[in-house]
Amino acid sequence: MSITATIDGKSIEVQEGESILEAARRCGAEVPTLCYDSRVDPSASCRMCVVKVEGRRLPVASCAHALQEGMNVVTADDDLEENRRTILKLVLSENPTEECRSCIERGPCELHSLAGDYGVATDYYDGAISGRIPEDSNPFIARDYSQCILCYRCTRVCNELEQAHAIIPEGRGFETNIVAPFHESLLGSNCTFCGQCIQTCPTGALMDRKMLGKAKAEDVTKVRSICPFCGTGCGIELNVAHGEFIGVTPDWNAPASAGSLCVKGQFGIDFINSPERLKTPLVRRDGVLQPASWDEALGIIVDKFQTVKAESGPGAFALWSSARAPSEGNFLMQKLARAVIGTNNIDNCSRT
Amino acid sequence: MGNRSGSHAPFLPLLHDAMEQPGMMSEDTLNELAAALRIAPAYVHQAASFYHYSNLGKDHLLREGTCGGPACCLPGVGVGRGTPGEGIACPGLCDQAPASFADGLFRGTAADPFLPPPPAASVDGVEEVLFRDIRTPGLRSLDGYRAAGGYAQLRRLVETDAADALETLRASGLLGRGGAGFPLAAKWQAVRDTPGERKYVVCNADEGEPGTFKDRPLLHRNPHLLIEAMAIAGHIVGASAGVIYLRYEYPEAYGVLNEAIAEAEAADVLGGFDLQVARGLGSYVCGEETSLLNSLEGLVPWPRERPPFPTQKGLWGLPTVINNVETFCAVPFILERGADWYRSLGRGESAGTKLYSVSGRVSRPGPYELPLGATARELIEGAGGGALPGRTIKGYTLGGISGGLLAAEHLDMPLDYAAPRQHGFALGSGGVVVFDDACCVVDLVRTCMLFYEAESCGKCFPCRVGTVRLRERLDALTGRAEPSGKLMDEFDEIGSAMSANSACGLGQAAPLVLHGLVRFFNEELQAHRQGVCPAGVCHFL
Repeated sequence: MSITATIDGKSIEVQEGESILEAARRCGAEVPTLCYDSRVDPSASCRMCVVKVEGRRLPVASCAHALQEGMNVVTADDDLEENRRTILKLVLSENPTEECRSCIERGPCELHSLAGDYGVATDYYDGAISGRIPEDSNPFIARDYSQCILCYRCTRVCNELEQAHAIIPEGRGFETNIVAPFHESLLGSNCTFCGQCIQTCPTGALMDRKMLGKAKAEDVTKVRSICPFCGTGCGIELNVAHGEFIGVTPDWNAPASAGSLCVKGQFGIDFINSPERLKTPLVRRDGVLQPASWDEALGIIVDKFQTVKAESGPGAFALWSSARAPSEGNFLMQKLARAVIGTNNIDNCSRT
Repeated sequence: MGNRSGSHAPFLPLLHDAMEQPGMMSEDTLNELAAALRIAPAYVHQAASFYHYSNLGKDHLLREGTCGGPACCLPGVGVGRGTPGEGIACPGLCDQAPASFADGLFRGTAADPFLPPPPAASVDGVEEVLFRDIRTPGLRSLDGYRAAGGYAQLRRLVETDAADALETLRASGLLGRGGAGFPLAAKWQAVRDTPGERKYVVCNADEGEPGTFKDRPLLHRNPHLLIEAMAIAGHIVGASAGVIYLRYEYPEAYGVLNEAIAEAEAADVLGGFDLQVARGLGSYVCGEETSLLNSLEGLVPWPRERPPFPTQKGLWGLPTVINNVETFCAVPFILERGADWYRSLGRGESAGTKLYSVSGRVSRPGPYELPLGATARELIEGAGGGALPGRTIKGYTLGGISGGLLAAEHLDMPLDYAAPRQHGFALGSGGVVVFDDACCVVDLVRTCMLFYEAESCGKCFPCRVGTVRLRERLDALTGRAEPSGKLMDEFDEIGSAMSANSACGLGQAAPLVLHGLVRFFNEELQAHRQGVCPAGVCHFL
């Protein structure tokens, strides 16, 4: 069912249930957020996205409320913008930094982008700082909670989206910290090192340790690709600097994964740089593996298959298809087994 | 760990059990707890690490302390100037200040912590309702309560039409006494009208507001009144189960309520209404109704976004009536004596009576029942006995501390729901902390802010950081840190963002005492900026 409402004076028709925030952004309103990740339930923590709704005494968090029929919403006026500026000054004062490593290496982080937009990058309050740096030597995730703004995106992604239940906010108020319960290092925790906490982090608190210090953001080119590790086909971006692969970021627009990756796709792609990596087929000649062309290698396979089939019949074949192949590839494999070779001995490595 | 399979909200009882085990909150205990609750251990860890009196995520279990609350920190009462981390959260013994905590018990100056003296009789000629029978010996037993006419309204309701009872409550004009002043009948009607086979009645007995201790005598001395009222609510809205969320700081009431429920069930007077008590673990924000519901469900007690309201989706997502102790307890009297009678007890437009708590620098601190709309002067100078000998009252806080802060010139303001709004303030819980010329109002406001900082849940940015920044600036004003030049602008900016943007009442209300300070005590505030404390309380670096 669709409903009609007004946002910043514009009439808009949306499907019932769409949040005020999503609807406002579709209308072209620039509603700032820090704790919002559309893949998980809104936590309405940062209070940057609050908007005025006619008839409501206080502004409402637009991320957490659905647009209602006839609602009249104002997404920006002097009061809202002034309070947003104050909230930014508060949160910056908690995590002051001379050099944001995320801004330097990943490009402007969400926090400092907004701080720039609101003109408060250096004009914030004095006061106590929060967040500690755990002693954690895990090779994948660099954690510096002195830069943590407690938006709880990492913990929601970990618990709700990935369901790894590795990290959680501990404590209360200003003393709240993100922890792996009972474990200082993620190595002993439930963490699967999918790295998705890094990717949702709006500051430099969580960084890809493998990429850390490798390049500056302006030197990095991102090449869209598909993760080769399994048939899911998650979208990845190969980060390339100075002609060399340095790490992976998710392709947020990939239909199969919408930004999610697992430990393999996130951290396991660095085989690209391995000197042992095969770049052409190898054919054993005189007992030694030697580079060959695809035509030569496939020609040998066809010859040998035909020989075996002629000597021993199709029942001598058994084919295992790979979990790294997509469904289409697996379909073709069973077609090869049944229609070309003539055997039902076809299985998939996921089942063995 | 005990078997809590019949519990409507097993998390808190299980956590209490776990804390009593040797080794207490170890990883194994936590995993066991999570398995019993069928939720991920990470969530249990998050929730359990939140509370003052659970030891999870902390170095040790909090075993003792003195009160850091506003009444106990006034000069001449307790520890005097509070320091961060030093005091425990207000345990509601402001009328017996100074309060302290040791061996699992919270004590004020009363001889018997299990049964402090009953509230003093109110001013002559004032008709009491909730406190009418409270000085009757033996009232807390079933026989004693029945002798005072107890359980008659529940019995009568079962035989008559619940819709009529709801009409009576509507006509009585009873507004929720927890602070927000929402009409009780509208809330009950909403739950009654929400379809559902299972519904809950929840009592908010998490009386955590500093300077507020008016539910305590009802819980200690008249438990059956609350039990009957909740069963009546269940009958009217169609709920067969209820939970009383009792604050950790009232351990005696836990025994009293459980005993009374057992007695009522044995005598079969509740008509099948299944009532349980869940004891909190120390957290002011759990008095916020949606935080309270999260706490019962074993989630971290951060406030929920509304709508949906608890009337639609409350405990376990089911339609839920949630009211304060005082609100529930008015119900049987209204059904007994009628709407017109109750309405006539209030002043002007206000209906009924109100339990007020007066503490701080007055001669007779205590909980008193007065007509809703009685003036601050009637409460402070009448019931409360006025200023201490030789002293002059300078002002008072409202709503415990979360309703605002006013000066002596406002003593004739009616303590009703409407009058405080002209200042942008609120009646709130009806608690009033009085300060006089021996007190420093800047230091008092700083004590209040320290409380909000300690109790801020950490969910939302403006409250989590704002309370700290405001307290730091009050530190500077009271000689604890170097002052900053932009103080007044910063008060204004931070206060405004907190009031408008915070996720719940805690952060929205925290700047109100500061607003009162800036508006009504600007001279004293400006003197502090020059390094002078007119009351001689603050010592400057």
